[in-house]
Amino acid sequence: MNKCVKALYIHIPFCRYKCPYCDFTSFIGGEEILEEYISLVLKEANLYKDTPKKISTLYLGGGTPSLLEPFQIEKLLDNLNALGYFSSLEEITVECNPEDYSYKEYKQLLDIGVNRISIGIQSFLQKGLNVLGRRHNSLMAIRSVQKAKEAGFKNINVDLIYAYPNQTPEDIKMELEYISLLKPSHVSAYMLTPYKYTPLWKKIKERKLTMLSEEEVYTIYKTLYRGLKRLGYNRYEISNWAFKGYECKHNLTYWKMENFIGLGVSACGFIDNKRYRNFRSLEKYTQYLEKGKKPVEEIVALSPAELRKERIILRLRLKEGLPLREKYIIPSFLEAFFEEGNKGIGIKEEYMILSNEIIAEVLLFADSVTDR
Amino acid sequence: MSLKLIRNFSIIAHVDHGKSTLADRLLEFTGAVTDREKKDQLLDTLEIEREKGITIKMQAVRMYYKAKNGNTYKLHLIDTPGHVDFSYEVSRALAACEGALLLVDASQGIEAQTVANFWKAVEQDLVIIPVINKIDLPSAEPDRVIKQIEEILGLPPEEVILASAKEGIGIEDILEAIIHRIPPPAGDPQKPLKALIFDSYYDSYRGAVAFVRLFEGKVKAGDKIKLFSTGKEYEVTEVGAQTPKMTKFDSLSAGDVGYISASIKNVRDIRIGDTITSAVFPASEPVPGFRPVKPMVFAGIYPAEDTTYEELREALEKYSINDSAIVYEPESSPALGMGFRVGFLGLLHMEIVRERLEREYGVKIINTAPNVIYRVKRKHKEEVFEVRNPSEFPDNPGLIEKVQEPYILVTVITPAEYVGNIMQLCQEKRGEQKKFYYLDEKTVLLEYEMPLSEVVIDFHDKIKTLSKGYASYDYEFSEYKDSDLVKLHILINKKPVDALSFIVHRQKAYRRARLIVEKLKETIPRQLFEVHIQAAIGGKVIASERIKPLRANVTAKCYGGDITRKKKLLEKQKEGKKRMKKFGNVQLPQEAFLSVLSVE
Repeated sequence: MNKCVKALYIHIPFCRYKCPYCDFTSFIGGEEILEEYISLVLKEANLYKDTPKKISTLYLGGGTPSLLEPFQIEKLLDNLNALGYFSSLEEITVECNPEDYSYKEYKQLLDIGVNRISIGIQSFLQKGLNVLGRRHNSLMAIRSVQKAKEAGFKNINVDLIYAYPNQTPEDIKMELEYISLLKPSHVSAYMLTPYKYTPLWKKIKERKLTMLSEEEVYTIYKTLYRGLKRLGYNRYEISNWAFKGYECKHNLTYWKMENFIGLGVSACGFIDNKRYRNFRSLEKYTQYLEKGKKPVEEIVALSPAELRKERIILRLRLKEGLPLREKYIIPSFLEAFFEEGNKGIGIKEEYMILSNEIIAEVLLFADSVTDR
Repeated sequence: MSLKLIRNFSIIAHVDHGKSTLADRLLEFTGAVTDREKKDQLLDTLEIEREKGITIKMQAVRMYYKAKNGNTYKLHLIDTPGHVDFSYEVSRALAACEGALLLVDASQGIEAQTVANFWKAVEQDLVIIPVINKIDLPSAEPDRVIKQIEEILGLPPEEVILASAKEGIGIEDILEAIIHRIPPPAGDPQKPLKALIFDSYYDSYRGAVAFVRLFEGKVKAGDKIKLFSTGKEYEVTEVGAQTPKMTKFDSLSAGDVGYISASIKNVRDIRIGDTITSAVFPASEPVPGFRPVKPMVFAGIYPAEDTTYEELREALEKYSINDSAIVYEPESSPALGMGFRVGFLGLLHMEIVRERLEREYGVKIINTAPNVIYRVKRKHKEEVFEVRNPSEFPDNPGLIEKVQEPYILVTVITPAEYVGNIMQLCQEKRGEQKKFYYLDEKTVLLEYEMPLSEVVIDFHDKIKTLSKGYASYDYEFSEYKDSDLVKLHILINKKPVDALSFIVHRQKAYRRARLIVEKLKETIPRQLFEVHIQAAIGGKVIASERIKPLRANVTAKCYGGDITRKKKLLEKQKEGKKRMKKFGNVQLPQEAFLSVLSVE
């Protein structure tokens, strides 16, 4: 009972510089081999030629996809189209850094069919950008959203990071001010996580930076989610808000466990209940493709139990949560943290910031009700 | 062999003063072990261990020594356990001897255990040969130690032998002193059998084996024997001695030291201090001094992590085959589930058991705070009952007429510079000073009477810390005394957690309560709900703390659909919760239970 592949993710693993908090796979430089890399991705795409697909969303992520010129993206899309990838495409997202594209490029992207842009703003405040080690400035951040709008993008996402060291509730109010002025259709706000071995993590370990206390994080969080709600944004996932109808279709395929293909170094995919991940090394990735093999480093077939677990984890990230008929896997002592809507039962907004703790409890409880 | 050519002796020493090195040298010198044999023997042991899963330790080694006077003597070296928890076992081993080598480190001098063991040997009327060991070390001060031996123990300086077991110095002098100074054993092989059991072990081939000293009579395979304390009868299957291998002999007779096996299934039937006699012609009186094993310290032992109750029960059963000193019975705790209440000889014994259960039997355990046995008399009730578990202690202090707790006499020997620290510690531990005197200008001996429960917690660590490791101590039980004790409840979100409650002296209750709630606040992670920790006596709360609910714990992003990583993280978090003990809405980590142990 094979399901069709609904989404395609392409990873562009190159950056001009590495952000101190980032632990995704990306390499510094690489502009000179972009062309070569794109042809490898196409080679990989060809290896999935026979996988049944009805792809409705494409997401170009990174790294920094905006290192690509619009014409290179066009070429990539054309070639994928020739391989039969795009019979029913509805949403094409390109991630970009605020400093890379301007009016002209945005316009070109629209022309070639890109209809959603996701801008890595992280913060509209210079203070935030400094702490986060970003090289664009506050003005560039604001401009990039304005330019994309001027060029005609209706669907613009702004990525924000909150709870960075020294951030105050006043700062987050300022971010909200900018958002109310620019009115992007979508906002993703991520709590800063110092992943192990990143430069940020080292600084914290060496006590050169201090993470905010839980209380401070909570105050900022509260200010943020209440502010976004007031501005008319509809929260549909732990880290995602959108105006009605502007939810990111691509990301929803992950959370609803649709099949998707991931192409490129370190990309992940999910096909027929199997999760795979590509090599993180560019060298290995290249070697495999040159031999005509899929550059997959790891592939795991999920047991029904694992699938159930993933479903809980992913569904509870969504505001709508689990279908009401599955309410029984939520232990009664957690009732206060959940609310029922017409679609299902999900974690209350104010507690979404505790989702790890809550989901871990649900998983533990779900284990005990498995044998029903 | 004539009794005149037999000598039975022990080596008494403080830990690390070189007892086992000296024993090795004696074995080598007398030819009981050659270099070749040392290797072979090691291999033998390993093979047996591998095949039968047992370890043979040397309990009583027989060796032959050709003395300068031309005679060959049969010597039995009887091992004594090295820790204060096993003082009864030490006294029984000494009772099997006529003499003892008192070994003192030339740099450390006399320590608490040296004195304690010396007095035990004197009580048994043993001839004592003082030996100063490690005289080759640059830090050696033999003159000071000779003076200590003279002044503290009253032994004449001219009797002291200077030695270095490591370098082989003085070994022959020691052996000559053994045959000349220690008297031969007395006893009549024709009289009814009378054999003192001073040690035992379990061997899956022979069953439970008794190590014995024969005072009267003879024993050989096929004899019918009887154990005095239980009246149980057995047929002897094998007699022999360690040479140092387990070696079968035709018979053992009065004056001899060796082993007897008689298809006894359980080491518990071979009680240390008991007397073996003939079932046909029994002796009229046993060797005096027998007393059944009496555990002094009790603690709850519960399965932790993946270990199940059944696995723990099996491990305890197997372990106790080889350790007749522990007692255990099932108990259940609302907080920790099904487990056992286990009685130990002392805190060190508890640590040994705990470690061996985890290491050799692969179980994971949580133990509750150890406690001593309290005697409680309730108002308007006749009987006095013994409390081995804080849960048995009356909750309401108003119902108690009187409580008694065991007191001990603690001897501490310390370099003079730390004496202030140690006196302060002993006072904090409710100790009453009984003796204080200078052993020499650098060393002080202190004696305190104090409650055993105070020593059970952290006395050992404290005394070592306060004296930079130089002070030593020993103790013996003195008596039960009245004491103003109360039960301190720990409540989590208003519900008492039985496994965290304990019995404490009223004067110390407030301090302990405060420290414990603070410690719990540190060890219990923030959770979805507020955690309210209280300590209470009866219904009265005397300390409390709150752990604010968790505020933020979220993984922001599953990048590019990388679910696996996120799943692993949550999985880990879930497993962490699994290892905790759930108590209402609160999850208590293992450290919370252990933290109670470490709070004074």
